[in-house]
Amino acid sequence: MKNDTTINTALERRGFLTSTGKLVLSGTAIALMGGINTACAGKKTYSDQLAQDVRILNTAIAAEHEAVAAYQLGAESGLLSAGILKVAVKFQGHHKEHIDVLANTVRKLGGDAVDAKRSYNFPVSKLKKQSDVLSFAAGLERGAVSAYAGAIPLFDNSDLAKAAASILADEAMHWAILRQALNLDPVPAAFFS
Amino acid sequence: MKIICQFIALVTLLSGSQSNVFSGGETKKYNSGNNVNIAAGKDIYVQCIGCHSLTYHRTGPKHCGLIGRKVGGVSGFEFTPEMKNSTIIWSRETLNQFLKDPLEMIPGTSMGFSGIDSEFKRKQLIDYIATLTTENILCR
Repeated sequence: MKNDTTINTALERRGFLTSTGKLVLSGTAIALMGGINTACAGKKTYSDQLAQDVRILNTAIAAEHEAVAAYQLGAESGLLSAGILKVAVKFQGHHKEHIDVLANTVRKLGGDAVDAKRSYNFPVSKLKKQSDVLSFAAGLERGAVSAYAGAIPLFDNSDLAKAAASILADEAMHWAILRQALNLDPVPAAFFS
Repeated sequence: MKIICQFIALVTLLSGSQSNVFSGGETKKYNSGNNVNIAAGKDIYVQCIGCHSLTYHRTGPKHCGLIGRKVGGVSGFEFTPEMKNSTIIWSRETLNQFLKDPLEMIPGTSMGFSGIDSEFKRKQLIDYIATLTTENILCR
């Protein structure tokens, strides 16, 4: 269990972040950081729950790093039109923001955030035209939505779950827009798994 | 709340039935005599592609050749100690147990996934994964 001093410090930090306006942090960032307060109050032992949360967050960070690298590949491919490139770079920026928030959270929880790999296995030889790149990116985004959907129930801490849901929503929007760009039904079903 | 849960369960049941009964695709008869719909399992596998690939390691290890492999036993992937030290062999049975609740079976796994509740869907997914042998063109 966390001691009162630690909890108060975290609460003060959250108050600072939300009241000064000098630091621009998303609601997700604040929720994640705020969630640290209750990460210690789980039903499992503190260390077990904490270790599990850190592992889950690090798995998410690893996938986000891969997404950043994938968008970089797409951006440098020369296959994207100016308009699509702008969108791709924007989406890549979102993934970078996800990493920053998730990694900060891992560190606040006392863990080490995973770094990006030096290289990734991407189907480079199959990316010959813009739609190939968009399909590739859409597949990653779709997979990310599933990954977050599968991870959210594991968080004992509802603040972490809410924050992960916020990221999931962002990635679902990416997926829908990429599908739209591919002339596919952007929202193919009422339910998602 | 109960009604909502029942509704979701019904939708899940119907979606599972539909993919099994009405979807086309590859159907293969195994020695067990059970007809399995590979396409249905392949559809469910989409849930795995956020972290896994068939032929190369990503956030999670590759899946080709999974059945018969030791847990944490494929080279080139950095497993957690709990996975690496496990003596479990992936079989239809152990995979079914894992997919139901990964963290319950191997608490130290980095697979941050809550599991697939539907036994029917787990079976369909395992049917698909079981095809990912070295003979499968997708694994070459």
